[in-house]
Amino acid sequence: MSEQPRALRWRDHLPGLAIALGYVLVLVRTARNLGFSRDEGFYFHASSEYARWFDLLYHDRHAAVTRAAVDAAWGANHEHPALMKSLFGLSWLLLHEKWHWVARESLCFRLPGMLLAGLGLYLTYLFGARAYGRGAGVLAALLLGFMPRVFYHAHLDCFDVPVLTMWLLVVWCYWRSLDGGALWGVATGVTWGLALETKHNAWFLPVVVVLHFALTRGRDTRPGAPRGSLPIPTALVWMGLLGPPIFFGLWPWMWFDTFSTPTHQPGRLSEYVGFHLNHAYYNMEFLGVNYFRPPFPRGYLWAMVLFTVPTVTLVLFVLGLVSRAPSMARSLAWVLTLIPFGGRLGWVRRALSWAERGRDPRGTDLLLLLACAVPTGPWLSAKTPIFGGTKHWFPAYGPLAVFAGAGFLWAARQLAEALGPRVRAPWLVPAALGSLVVLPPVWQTAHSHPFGLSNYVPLVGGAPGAATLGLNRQFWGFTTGSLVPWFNANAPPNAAVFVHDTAWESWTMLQRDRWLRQDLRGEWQPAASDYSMVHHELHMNEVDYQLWTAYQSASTVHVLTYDGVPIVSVYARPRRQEP
Amino acid sequence: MTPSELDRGSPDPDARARVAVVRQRPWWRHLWVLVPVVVAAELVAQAVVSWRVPRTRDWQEARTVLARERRPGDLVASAPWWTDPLARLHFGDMIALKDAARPDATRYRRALVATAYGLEHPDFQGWTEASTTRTGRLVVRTLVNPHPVEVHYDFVDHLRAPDASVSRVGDATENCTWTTGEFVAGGGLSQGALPPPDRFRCTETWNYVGVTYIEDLQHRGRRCIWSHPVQGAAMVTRYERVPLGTILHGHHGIAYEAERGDDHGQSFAGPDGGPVVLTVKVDDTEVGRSTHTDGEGWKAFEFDTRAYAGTAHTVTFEVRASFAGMRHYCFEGDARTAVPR
Repeated sequence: MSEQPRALRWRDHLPGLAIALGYVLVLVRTARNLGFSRDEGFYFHASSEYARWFDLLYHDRHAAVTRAAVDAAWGANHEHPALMKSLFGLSWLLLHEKWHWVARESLCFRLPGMLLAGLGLYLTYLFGARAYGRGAGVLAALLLGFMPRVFYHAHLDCFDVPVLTMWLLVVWCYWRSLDGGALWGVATGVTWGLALETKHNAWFLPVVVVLHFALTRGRDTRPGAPRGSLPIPTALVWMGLLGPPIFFGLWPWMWFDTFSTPTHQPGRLSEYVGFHLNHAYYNMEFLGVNYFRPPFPRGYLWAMVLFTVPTVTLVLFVLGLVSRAPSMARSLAWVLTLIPFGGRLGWVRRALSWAERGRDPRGTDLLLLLACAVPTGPWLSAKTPIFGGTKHWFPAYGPLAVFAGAGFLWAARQLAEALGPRVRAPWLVPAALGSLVVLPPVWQTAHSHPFGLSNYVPLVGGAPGAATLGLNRQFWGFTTGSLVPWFNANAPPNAAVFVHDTAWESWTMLQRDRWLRQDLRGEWQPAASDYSMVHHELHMNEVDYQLWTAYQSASTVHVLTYDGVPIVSVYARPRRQEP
Repeated sequence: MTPSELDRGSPDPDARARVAVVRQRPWWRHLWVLVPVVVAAELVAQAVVSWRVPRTRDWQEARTVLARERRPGDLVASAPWWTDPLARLHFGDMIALKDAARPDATRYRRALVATAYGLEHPDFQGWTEASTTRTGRLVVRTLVNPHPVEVHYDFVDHLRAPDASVSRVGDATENCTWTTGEFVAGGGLSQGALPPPDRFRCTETWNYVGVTYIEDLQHRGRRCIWSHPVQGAAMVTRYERVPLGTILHGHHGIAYEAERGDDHGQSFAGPDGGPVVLTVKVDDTEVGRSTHTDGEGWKAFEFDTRAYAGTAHTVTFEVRASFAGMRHYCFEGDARTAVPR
């Protein structure tokens, strides 16, 4: 395998674009029966507020930039930066409100996230294709798209898949900047600013860049180093110059009281940082235990990756990692020169000589490894919250998929070698193996919908195995959407439904989309309702028992299941109970 | 022709060379075999997972079996525990609320358990399997309690006037009033147990004694008598003419979030997390006391009442805590006698 990246011609982009486009179309198509998560509900509201501000900005620029107008609009959900919510809002404002192109409001809010998901797959393809070959790129993109958890989150008007994409975009720009193009350095700065404006995971990106540069070009910082006069990468300079201005510039909430208030209290930046550093821990079930405060289990991340990412993807990732290990060793070999009098040692000379042959000056493999490892770093601490399940380390999945693509290519080559000239068409082995490899992820992903957060790989026995092991069954209450057909068919006119974990805006969106019957009423108190839902999460069992008190009955009238595992129970007031 | 035959005697020199190349390849270059093996394993496993899921008709057939086999006093349940909502859907009329929220299973002589995946329910560990009936992917198991008891009096069932009375006993005694049919206000995450429609109301609106359902530390629902302690006084629940057996058996616990602390990492240890003491008296003579401390969960107690067995007496439960804040306390009990097998 050559150690030099492949230049991509325009035709090389077509497979990636086709995968991206196909993925977005599948997302649009499958969003139809996916209920709305709690966070989506909050962002429906915030995005609408932001959209109204953009409308004001368009019509009266001076009025829009006053503090009163900014605070009124951007105060909503100001604990998260604004880029994606702005896009959600603008999409809704233009496609639904103004141009009337899209009838479903929820689709307008979700569309920017879906497009970012498509872009993420395209970038994954590009990375794989340029670093290892088109086959690797194709498999990488497909394996990323067909991770059931990624597929679920890719539908949402949330930030987790967008930041996966932005993470990869910044790493891509930085990687390209290592070829010396000044524009790629600027692009790294711009995209980092946008990534910061997407989600706070992006604050870890400088760690990737600095570590990569130190490990691959550390020798350039020594006195008398042969290459380069600037000991830091230009991309890092641009990140420093452009990242913060873009972060603050695109987030109107930060325009006032940025660092301190007029009364010398900590400003909005401190509030933002403090919110995430002191975030509530919430609840998460893992191996039968409901964790709600530190210490959290250190094995959580590794176990959840193992339990939720299709096993063949992980096997290919490991093969890819191992097959690329020599290249990483070549990038790191210069460290041997730090050994005192190392030059006199024969083995050091031999190692350095080996490393120089075919060394990738960009340190591509090492960069991907860092881009994969750094997002998982926070979970080395037992104090890092685990309530987000897998979504909080999504940025690791793009590079993971690229390695899986490399692993696929390695396996295909070994198979082709083993078969020898019996197979005359060189494309046949990778095509056949590739088709085989994507089968389990595609099946698992298709089977997971619309219960993406309840899905676990067959390795652990799927959802029933996970329920027995005591793994979280869902969060965010989005499975209410799967009950809509039942309520539409069974609830009497004007029935009141206790919505439990469904956010209010998520419930009302079901009706704004004309999915749920307009006469049904959301209700917060079980005793005032005709029906009650309980979303099954371990720590929410108390709601079951509240209903037993309110209804004086433990009988359910409907249980929504996924692979036989209860996801949501529906209770009816005894007078409403079917005979 | 096998590879070794090819190697030795194939007339095709290319074939011989191929075999030689394969043989010379280091072992790790054969790791590609893992890929199709894992693909095949995942596909088969996925199919098996789907195939093993009990279907609706399996539950319905199990219902027919249960209806036929069930005797008065039997407990109907399902295993593993996470199938419980499905059992309450399909066998709802055979699972009374008090059975769903049972304190334990010791009072039942038999349990009919619709079982999936061959898994057990923790309540029936050590019980003897008397028979099994397969209904599709479920198995209805008839389990027999190896230590049966006869329950003479359930204190939770009798928490109502005039069987019971409630008072707060401090410097002064204040009687709480029996009310019925009140609106069950509240509900939702972190709201804890709800006050029941029928309850003894004391002076402050939050302070009552009534039968509710708490989430215990193991997340099980328990039917019990809510008796939040008050500062500087005892909450006293008194029953008249209770037919006693040889044992007074019961449990006490604190509702989940009050016992564990909140999800901001705050513990209720300290003034708001102290122990709660339950004292049981028969005719004003103490027969036992049990102290509940955070972390103990749904805690069992048994007091010897052989001296009173076979006769009716006044039984009093007194609840005290040095620090009453956040003590969402609940207890249950019954008078029973072990039945010789």
